[in-house]
Amino acid sequence: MSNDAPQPAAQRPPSQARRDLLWGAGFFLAFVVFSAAMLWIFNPAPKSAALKPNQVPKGKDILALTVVHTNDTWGYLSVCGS
Amino acid sequence: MGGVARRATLIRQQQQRSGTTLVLDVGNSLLYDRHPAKATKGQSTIEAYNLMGYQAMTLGKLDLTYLTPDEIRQRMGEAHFPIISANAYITGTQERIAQPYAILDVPNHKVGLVGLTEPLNNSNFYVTDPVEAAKSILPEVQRQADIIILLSRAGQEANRRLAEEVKGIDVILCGTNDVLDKPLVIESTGTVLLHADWTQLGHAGERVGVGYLYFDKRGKLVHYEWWRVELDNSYADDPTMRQWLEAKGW
Repeated sequence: MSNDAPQPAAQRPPSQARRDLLWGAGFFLAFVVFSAAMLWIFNPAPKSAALKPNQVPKGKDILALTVVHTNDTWGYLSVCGS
Repeated sequence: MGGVARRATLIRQQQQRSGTTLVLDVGNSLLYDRHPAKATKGQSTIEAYNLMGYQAMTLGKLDLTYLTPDEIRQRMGEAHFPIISANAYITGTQERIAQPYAILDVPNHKVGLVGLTEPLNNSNFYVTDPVEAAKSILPEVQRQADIIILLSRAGQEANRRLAEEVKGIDVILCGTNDVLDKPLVIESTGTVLLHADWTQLGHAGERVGVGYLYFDKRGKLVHYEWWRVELDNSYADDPTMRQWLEAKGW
């Protein structure tokens, strides 16, 4: 029997299997980091600390009015889906 | 816990930041399919909104579908704030189910709030064209207020028409599932359209609009900034609201 015959995956040399595992783990880690970065960059919902106006008109006659508004809450007391 | 307990925290933060804060709801908020709002016919919502310090609410299709005129009158009697709609009428009459608008006092100005409900026709209620209703009622409101805000469920097409055709509307706060993803400014009139939430994952009160609006001495909107806030776990539960929920077993 020839030694050149392809070996089943289970019989790959240990170094090859380790390399495959490392590549897999690396791809997974990169995917997690990339996803987290995208969520952080594109998340449109700011935290409370981020609610700071870029520009505040000055003047004694300027009224600064804050409006907090909701719609279609359906009377839910807890979050939809919870 | 989340939900109204976090919302109450956001509202309190904004009230502490600015002495002049309006807390408003653009309808479809009394009840739908869940306990306790469904079982109490929206009474739980009114209690929560009273605790959170809401100052006005308009009526939506769900409210007019799942409640009778008497039940809505009961809720209006319990509310510490006006419930408004300029175009929702009791079937077979010329009688509105709610007052069409409310006037709120803020320092040196008066804010006129007009409620608009989306079209509907059932055995208890009928709703007239929101654009025509707004055009008809606005002159009366503008005689009493120099800042005009619509709580509108008319839909984005009708909202844009209103904003383009009627001068003097400062802001339209939108409801319904007709998505307006970002604030929209109508160039010809300067009216700003804002929409906090629509039906998608995490909706129904988890997304709240916060607008910082600046008006000159004539009540003209000169600048605004706006955020859609998602009430994630960076917002702690408000202790008063949590206590109330626990006491009620909700």
